[in-house]
Amino acid sequence: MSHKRPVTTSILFSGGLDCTILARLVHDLLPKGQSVDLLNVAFENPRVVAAAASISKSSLQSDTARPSPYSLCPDRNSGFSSHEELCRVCPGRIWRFVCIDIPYTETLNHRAQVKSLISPHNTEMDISIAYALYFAARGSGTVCDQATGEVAPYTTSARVLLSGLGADELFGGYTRHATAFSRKGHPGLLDELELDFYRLGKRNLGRDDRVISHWGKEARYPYLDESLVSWALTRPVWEKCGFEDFTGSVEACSGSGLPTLEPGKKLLRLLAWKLGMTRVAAEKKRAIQFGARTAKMEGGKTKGTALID
Amino acid sequence: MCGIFFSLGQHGYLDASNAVLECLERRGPDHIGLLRRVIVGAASRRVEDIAHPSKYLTFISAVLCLRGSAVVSQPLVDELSGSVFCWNGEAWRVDDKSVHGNDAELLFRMLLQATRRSSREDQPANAEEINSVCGVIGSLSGPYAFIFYDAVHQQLFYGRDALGRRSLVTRKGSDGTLIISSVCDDSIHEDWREVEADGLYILNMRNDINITKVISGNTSEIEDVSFVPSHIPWSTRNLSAKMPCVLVSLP
Repeated sequence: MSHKRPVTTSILFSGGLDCTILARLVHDLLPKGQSVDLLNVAFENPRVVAAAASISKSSLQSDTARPSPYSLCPDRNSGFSSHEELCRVCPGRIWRFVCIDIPYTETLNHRAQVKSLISPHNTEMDISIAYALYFAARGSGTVCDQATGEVAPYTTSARVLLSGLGADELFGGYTRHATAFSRKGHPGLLDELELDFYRLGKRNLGRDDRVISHWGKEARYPYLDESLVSWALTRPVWEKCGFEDFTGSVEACSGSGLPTLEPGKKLLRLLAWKLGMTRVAAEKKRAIQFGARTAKMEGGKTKGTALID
Repeated sequence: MCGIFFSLGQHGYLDASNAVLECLERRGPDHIGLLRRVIVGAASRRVEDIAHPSKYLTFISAVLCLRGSAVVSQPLVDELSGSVFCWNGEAWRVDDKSVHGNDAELLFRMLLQATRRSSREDQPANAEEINSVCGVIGSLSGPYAFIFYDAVHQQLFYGRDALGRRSLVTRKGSDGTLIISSVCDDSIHEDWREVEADGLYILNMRNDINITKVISGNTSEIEDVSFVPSHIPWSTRNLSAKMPCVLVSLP
């Protein structure tokens, strides 16, 4: 069965909670015949590869047993896992998982271009996030035919790229939100959330736009829809985040058939659960530059705030 | 996704570099348009000054067409007033009503309406007219960066949506030049900064009015090269379930 209609919709897909919910919701909105490209990007990070090699040496494995650098990227693994859940919960649609594997030499070849695009931003953290978005937006990788197991090159024709950005800022998905809550309770959490949210435009989105649009693509942020944002901002913080639920009541939850979920983004986890995506409802948060392994490729000692040379 | 560009030159047109043009075209591969305007100082009516415009404006828009059935070319121009509009955005809703058809054309019509020529000739825009423009922009839901040149009052409006979803960077040159663009120009290294996603910016191009200054009995003209735009901040703290649009407050 092949669908000749060109793909219109792609999703920046780490397999995490936010983007998987988007995919699940897209399923309810797009006509059945339309396939969706799930763009999963993984980088060959020399530092991570070297660390893995020294571990395998010490356990006396042969060189041929060395894992592919891309399988060392947490996002690749969570991507596969959520893709499997999506195919199971939303059958009757082609969910095309595109493995975008970027060798270290490729990253270096594009460094000057990415550095230029993110300007006037200029820190190591900026460029490591930008790499992931840049290559994801380019949308070139490989797809594995689920029937035959055959791997073929593939470039997405979709001009629209859905991103789950904003969910963490609205619903408390970062570790520092949990930390703020544990140190200063709800007021501390609220301050942290407000700071993150109002900083989004200044810190992230102009930079992201320059990098993604370079490929003639348009990023869309459903979590930043004005109606959703204004609704979410009026919700009490304990309904959205759920940090207080986690402490001490695990046994009570597991007996009653209620899900035991990770703290943070409680509202989204319950939504995922309700929509049948019970595995991803329990997924831990990981920032893109760590999940795709774009952070700290040259040396482990470089700080995110260091300027790019 | 589109690419937009504006430049102001004091002694001639300030062109976008090839690198910037290339980036703009990659952002908007479906169509690219360029427009030029000169401004002659209104305070000066001497014949020799007409031959020497005081400001040279360049507008560039590169379009990526995702909605509607036809590519609408930009920059949008109104023949009657001479006003120009460069739009990089998606207006999903205006006043909470879904937009059908091309959003750039709709918004341009609304902005022209807000800035149409009043009975007062050659007067700068008053608070009511600026408020009208704020009203148009404030009624949008969706991501955007835009540049609107109100030729009637010789004012430039520009800005990004409150969540900053589209890029807009700016550079003020020490030679009195100004660039507002989707991307930086790498060949000029210094002084680029992002346009803050915190409201509407207004640059008055008519700043050669009343610049005569009397010093110790002598009359001298001062050219304003500071180009500090006025700023009207978005008020995002008033978001509520009933008013999904971002409210704009006039100071």
